[in-house]
Amino acid sequence: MHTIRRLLVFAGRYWQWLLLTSVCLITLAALELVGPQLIRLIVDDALKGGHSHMLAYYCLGIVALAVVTGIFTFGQQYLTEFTAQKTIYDIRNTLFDHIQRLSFSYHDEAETGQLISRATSDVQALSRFLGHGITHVVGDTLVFLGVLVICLKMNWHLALVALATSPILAVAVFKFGGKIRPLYTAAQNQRGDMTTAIQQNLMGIRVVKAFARENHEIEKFDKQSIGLLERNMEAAVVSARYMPFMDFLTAAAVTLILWYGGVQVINKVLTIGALLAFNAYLGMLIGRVRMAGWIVNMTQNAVAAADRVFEILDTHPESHVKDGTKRLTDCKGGVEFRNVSFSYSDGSKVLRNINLEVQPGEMVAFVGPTGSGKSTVINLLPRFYDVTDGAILVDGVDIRDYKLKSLRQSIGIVAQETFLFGDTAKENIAYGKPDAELEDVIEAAKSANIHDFIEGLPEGYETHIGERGVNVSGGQKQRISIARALLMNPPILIMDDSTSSVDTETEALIQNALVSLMESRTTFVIAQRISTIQRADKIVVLDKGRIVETGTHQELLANGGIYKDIYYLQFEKGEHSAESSATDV
Amino acid sequence: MAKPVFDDELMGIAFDPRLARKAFAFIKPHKGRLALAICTVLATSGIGLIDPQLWRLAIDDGIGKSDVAFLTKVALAYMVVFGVRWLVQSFQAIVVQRLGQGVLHDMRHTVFSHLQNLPLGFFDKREIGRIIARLTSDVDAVNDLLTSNTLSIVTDVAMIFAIVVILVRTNLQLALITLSLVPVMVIATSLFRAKVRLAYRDVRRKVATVTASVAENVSGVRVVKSFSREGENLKRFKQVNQENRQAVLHAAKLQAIFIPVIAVLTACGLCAVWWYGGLRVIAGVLTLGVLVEFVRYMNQFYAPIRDLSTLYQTMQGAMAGAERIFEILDTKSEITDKPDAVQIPPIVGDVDFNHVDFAYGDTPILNDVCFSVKAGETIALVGPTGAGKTTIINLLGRQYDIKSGSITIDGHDVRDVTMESLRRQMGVVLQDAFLFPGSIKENIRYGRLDATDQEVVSAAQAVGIDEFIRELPAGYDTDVREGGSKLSSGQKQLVSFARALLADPRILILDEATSSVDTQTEILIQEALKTLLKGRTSFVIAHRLSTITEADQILVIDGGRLVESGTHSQLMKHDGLYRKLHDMQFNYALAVAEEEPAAS
Repeated sequence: MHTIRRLLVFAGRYWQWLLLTSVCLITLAALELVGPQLIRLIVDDALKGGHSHMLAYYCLGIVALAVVTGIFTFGQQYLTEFTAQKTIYDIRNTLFDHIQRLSFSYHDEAETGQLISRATSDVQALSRFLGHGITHVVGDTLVFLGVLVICLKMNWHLALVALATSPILAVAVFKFGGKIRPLYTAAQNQRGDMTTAIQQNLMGIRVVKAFARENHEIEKFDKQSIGLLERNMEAAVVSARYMPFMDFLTAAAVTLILWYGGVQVINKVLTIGALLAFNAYLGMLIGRVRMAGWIVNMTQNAVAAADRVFEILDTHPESHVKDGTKRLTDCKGGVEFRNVSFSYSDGSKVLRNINLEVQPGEMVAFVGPTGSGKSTVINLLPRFYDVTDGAILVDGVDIRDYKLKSLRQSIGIVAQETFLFGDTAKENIAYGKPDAELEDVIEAAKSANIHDFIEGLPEGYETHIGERGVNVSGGQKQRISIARALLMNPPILIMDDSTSSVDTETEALIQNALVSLMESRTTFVIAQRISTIQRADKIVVLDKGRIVETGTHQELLANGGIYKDIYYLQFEKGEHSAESSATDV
Repeated sequence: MAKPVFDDELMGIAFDPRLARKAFAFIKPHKGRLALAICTVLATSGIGLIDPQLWRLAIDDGIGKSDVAFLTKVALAYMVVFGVRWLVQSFQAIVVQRLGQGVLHDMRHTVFSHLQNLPLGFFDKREIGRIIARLTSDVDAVNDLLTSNTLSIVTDVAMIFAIVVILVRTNLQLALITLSLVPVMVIATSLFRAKVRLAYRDVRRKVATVTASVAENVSGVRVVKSFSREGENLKRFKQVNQENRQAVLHAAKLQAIFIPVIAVLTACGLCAVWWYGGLRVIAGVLTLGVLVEFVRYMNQFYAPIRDLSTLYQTMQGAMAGAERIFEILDTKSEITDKPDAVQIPPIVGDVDFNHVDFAYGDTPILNDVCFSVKAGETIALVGPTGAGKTTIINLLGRQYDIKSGSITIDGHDVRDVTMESLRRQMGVVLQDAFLFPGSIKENIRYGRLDATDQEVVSAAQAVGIDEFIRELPAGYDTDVREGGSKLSSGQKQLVSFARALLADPRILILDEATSSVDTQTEILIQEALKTLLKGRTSFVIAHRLSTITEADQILVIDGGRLVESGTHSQLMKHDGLYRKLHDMQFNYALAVAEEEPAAS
């Protein structure tokens, strides 16, 4: 009930339309009650009562009634859908925006497939419910009450007899709803799981084939597929137990009308026309009862869908902490990590007491073994996660005091895993600056050494790349994402492993471009190769979440710590090849 | 944001008997259930036909003749008839659902299994979302055709036929009045339906765009946040969302017109029957009971007529779904085992490429590649991006078939042995380590499904990831989550190493496998690999030449040709492409080192 109330709050914004819809609904319910009276008049008045001249009028009345009803039906249906779509439009936008504002930690945990299905098919279910469900709930209740009043007034004996089975029916409908709801939810979840399974299989198809695990995958999928079959059958079994039984109960009511009403007609307490009208009214009830089962289903589905949607909306957006108030403008690029610690929500400690001061324009390289916390450090700066302890300052101000948007716009990121959007090459590069001029885009592309490649595409910068577009290699992706970051011209630049999947030739080209680019901005680099890192102003060596060494290349070599070990290991190899090439020549 | 072209997805296509016949093959194994389903549905409908008869008897012979005993008998009969229907319907609900679900599962299984055996080239060209749709919505659409449409055709035709016979036999004039409305009803319905269908197709297209936008934003959420694109994306999404709303409203409007029109038509029919029938009753030629019986049959009559007039369009959608499914099923896995393929005996590791040509579609990729590898050698493949290194490796596992020449392992042509036995003895570590959702243990065990926990741990130890895994909250049972976002890519790569190691392959392939591992980890791995490579033939692709100088043989590939081969020192002497690549890389490193004169 709570869920439905929340749903109605969304719809409540359009109360004028709701009001108008209600007027149509009430009128329709009233019109529907007239039909059986016409039948009664035809039989009792025209056929049996001797007013045969009225027959034609009554018959035309049937058509006239249908026309008037039709007009109101149109109004009601259109208005309902209109209001429902306005509401759904709002819900969708809210949800879309909310999802993209949820924190990194949330997206780490959430399964993409489930999230997408909530934002699409669940919202779709809500749309159906608001469009048809509510109308039925209200309209059907009105008709039900109207029929009840009229029947009781026409012949309360017969009415009571006809309604004798209703309490059982009500219980059945209620129990059915309670039983079928979890089953539908289970079926829906299973469908989501199956979709996720297919997606994962297709994403990992190379691994599947490399290990010749096709049969294993088919077995796994069959389990999911059969799971869906079973969930649906469980629901069908419950439906089979209740639905036909409900039909039977309504048929029993018809029998009672036919028999008890028939006896009353024989006893001249009731006219035959009234009996037929009675039966027509009961027909309406039958329709409503049948609908009730369907509406209960639909409502249950909608409530389940709404619960899932609200679950997302109830998750606090990024960082739990409020957005700051200061705008970060003209960022100079001074960064300070002040006693920073960070743990994931599950308590695993990733960073401990990180202290680091970076002057504007400096280049900082993070070095350390896998899992030492390098990526986490740079994820904290744009507030993808918030520090657990301590503070990070940009230009002397805690980053939590800045407006998030202004902070992130000052930071350019070339991530380790590049993601291209299904759009043109131009749009992908201009992702952070949608209104960028083509010249600027080309400029950035040139700096990232991807211009020639893009020019060579069938439609140049207008060529669609990404999932459904032209195939782009890992190295090309990387360069596009570098161009994307460059176009932003950010005062602070973060590069995570940015050149690792580019071949030797390209890497050299990119490195050259980047040298001049880094000059004017604060740069944080995570790279594996010491040669890349050597020219950093400050090298930070991390191990198990702690800073173990800081300094320039020379200082660190002189220190004789981990860095020196790493350097010599790397250098030895280089020297090895240098030696051999020297001797070979 | 995505501006997908979905038109081809949503086009309904004309009924194609050949395609339908192929689709109906799916229902063959369920013939028994289908027959049972048809029987129950016919029985339920048939029972419905008794209802008007009972009403006539009650009105004319019971009430009309003031015979309470007879009326009571009719009422009892009514109870019995509907009691039977109750049972039949309960049975029917289960039978029909079981039929549909069974067919669905079969189709999903068939399509999925077929997908698993398609060559990699098939997946290169297709996006995942579309393939998922084949296994979900398209399969559903075809199932509708096979089960519910089939059932409704059979019952609707039977009902219409039965009612027409009954009506004509009861009263010809009234029957003609009732039937006269049928053509109008059919024309109105099919005209409207065609329009409504187009409108709903538009709705689905718009919904698909909304879905695509959401999916993209969720998948790329990290980039979205990095670039603070939330505002712009919301703006664009609102546009897409707005278009969706308009499409829905347009469809709703058509629907809202259609329903009243049909209602008015039905009212005309009722009006005519009550009027003409009423006159006959007044004239004393017709009893009221017969008139009531007629009206009740009419109500049962128009519904199947409406069903059938929309059937063709429903079918078009199903046909389109079927066509897309068969597009997959008819894609022959070009690479299949020969009928006389044998299991390759345990591989020793001699590999020979004899004048291998390979083209991807019409684009030639490899040209006359010849080389020969002795068991246990380490082979490095070097060359610019797109030179064909990965292709050579893919050909070795027979992921694609070559155009001409031959590839032999221990003298067996790879096309003469079963792929299963071949690939099972080959281990591949790819550039992008892909982990499946599930625990780390399960992911490592993917290499050999029957490996014990101890073997899993040993493999992890061998690649130096054991310690890290033990520190995780749930150790080896830690869920890697979708895409393994909690693990760094270096860690993911190490897990995939352990996976390959556990498989204990006879031929090991490392495709750029060490590029995203940090130096220290790489050193650990290099150590582990040394023992691992011992006694196995291995192929290594690496951009960083420093990692491959120790290879027994370096193959330099450029533009699909093998341009040089030899050991590191031989190639350096030769002064060709390898030398050029090497110098470029090394000079770069030197140049950087020179900036720091005091280095070392």
